[in-house]
Amino acid sequence: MFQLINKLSFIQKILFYAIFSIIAVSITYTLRDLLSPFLLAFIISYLLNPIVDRFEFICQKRILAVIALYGLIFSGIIFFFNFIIPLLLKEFNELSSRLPYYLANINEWLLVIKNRIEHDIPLIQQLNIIDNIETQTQSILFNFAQKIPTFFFSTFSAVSSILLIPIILFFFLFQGPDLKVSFFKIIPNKYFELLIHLFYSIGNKLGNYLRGIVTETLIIGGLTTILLLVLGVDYAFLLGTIAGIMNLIPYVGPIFGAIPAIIIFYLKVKTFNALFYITIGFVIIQTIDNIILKPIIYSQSVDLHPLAVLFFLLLGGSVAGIWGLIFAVPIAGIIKVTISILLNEIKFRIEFNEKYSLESSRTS
Amino acid sequence: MNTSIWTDIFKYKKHINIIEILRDIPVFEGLSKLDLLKISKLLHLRQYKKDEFIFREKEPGESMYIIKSGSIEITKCIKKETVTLSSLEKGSFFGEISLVDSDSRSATAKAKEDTQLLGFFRADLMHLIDRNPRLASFILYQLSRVLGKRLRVLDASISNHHVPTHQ
Repeated sequence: MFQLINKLSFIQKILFYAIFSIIAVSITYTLRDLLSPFLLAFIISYLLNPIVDRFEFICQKRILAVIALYGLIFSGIIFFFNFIIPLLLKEFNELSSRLPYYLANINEWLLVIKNRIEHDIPLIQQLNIIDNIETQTQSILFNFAQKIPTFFFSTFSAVSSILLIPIILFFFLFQGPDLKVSFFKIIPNKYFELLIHLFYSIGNKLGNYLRGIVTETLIIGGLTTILLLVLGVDYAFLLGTIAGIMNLIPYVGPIFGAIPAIIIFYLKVKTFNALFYITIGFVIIQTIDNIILKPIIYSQSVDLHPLAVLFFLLLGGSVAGIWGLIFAVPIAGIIKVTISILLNEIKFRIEFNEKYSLESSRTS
Repeated sequence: MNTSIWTDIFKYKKHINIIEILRDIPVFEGLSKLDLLKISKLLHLRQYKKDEFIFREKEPGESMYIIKSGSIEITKCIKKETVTLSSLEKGSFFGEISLVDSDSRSATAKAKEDTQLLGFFRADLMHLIDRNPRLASFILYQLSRVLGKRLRVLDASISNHHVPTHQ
């Protein structure tokens, strides 16, 4: 196969690879539903691999390590479904039944703000800008509120995935190192070391990042829930979960996470003192996140300029919505690592080719 | 492609063959059969044609290689001349410095005939520190012994060539 490719001319080679990649992409696209459990299992195996490695150090055998981990995970899932999920669902149902009340209040505020602005700047009234903004925000709020449950459950809706993922994951975890070695067999010698280096670098960064943000989400979600419970805010678990997940989005996420809690708390107690306390609480949690958690996570994974992070966030958000916002930073990190390694290699190859052609011209 | 991703039946037998070779490599000296089996699972078996480069001078280095069959030639570019430093046969190893640092390769390695090599990557060694610290530290110890031996040989050759002129 490879000998055949080597005999082709440069243009033929490019054509061959182009057609090959088009076919590969189209097959992947048609089979995307089938591939998603594999992809998810692959990502989860990345997250869990270091834990399996630690367990393997204790148990000495990888299979025992994987079984021990599965035992732990399943007891965790049982706990999750018995205690956490019903709590979240209960709070969610209560919240959605009271949603019209909250929206009416928000509308009222908007109306007040609108009247004040129109009173101060009469010109705006003629332009109808405020009405437009109002209808826009309303539809955005409604859309957002309706999308929350689908956002949580759509990715895990397929029953087959739930059954398949643990099985696929088991093989990824148990045979991970062997599978890796088998996979690398197909790489031609010329690019072998480069690609393995690339694979390991990306894997390291991505793994560190994923593990980091999972820990961060759990800690921030937990701290927010504790804060809300202490202050006596309704739906503390649901709002804490939302704040934790929103925290995945850099810079803007924490604000989106805090706003619902602040609004709901204000509507309950209606004093500005309370508003002050809850805001201070969120600021303290964010400070902990930014001073202690974030430096640990980002230093080992992606070191990108804040402006670059912001740019990739906007790009990700406009291309793929919420998921785009969450995955923008790790993908940008991968691109950065790939470019820096490839540039190094290309630089070396150009220098080498120059030297080599110089030598051969001298000898001939 | 004589090995496929899907066949696992003869895997153990294949590893035994590799273990016989690993046993004589100084870096893995004194390891038990079980440890050698663990190491053999990390190795990448590569086939090289005659005159194919394994790696080239100044290329970023990531792994050490062990010759399973065939032979290779180590060359270095000194003052714009290509000098052959040594040629290695079955059971030898080279590129071991890349297991401890990520600097570029100090010489070029080329296959003298059709050759089978076993690649051992720094990333795998680093990963082994988490999975099996005892085995990893033993390998690192043996590796530093090999590098230390190299240093002594180098020292001796320098002091042979270079006689101090000042008292």
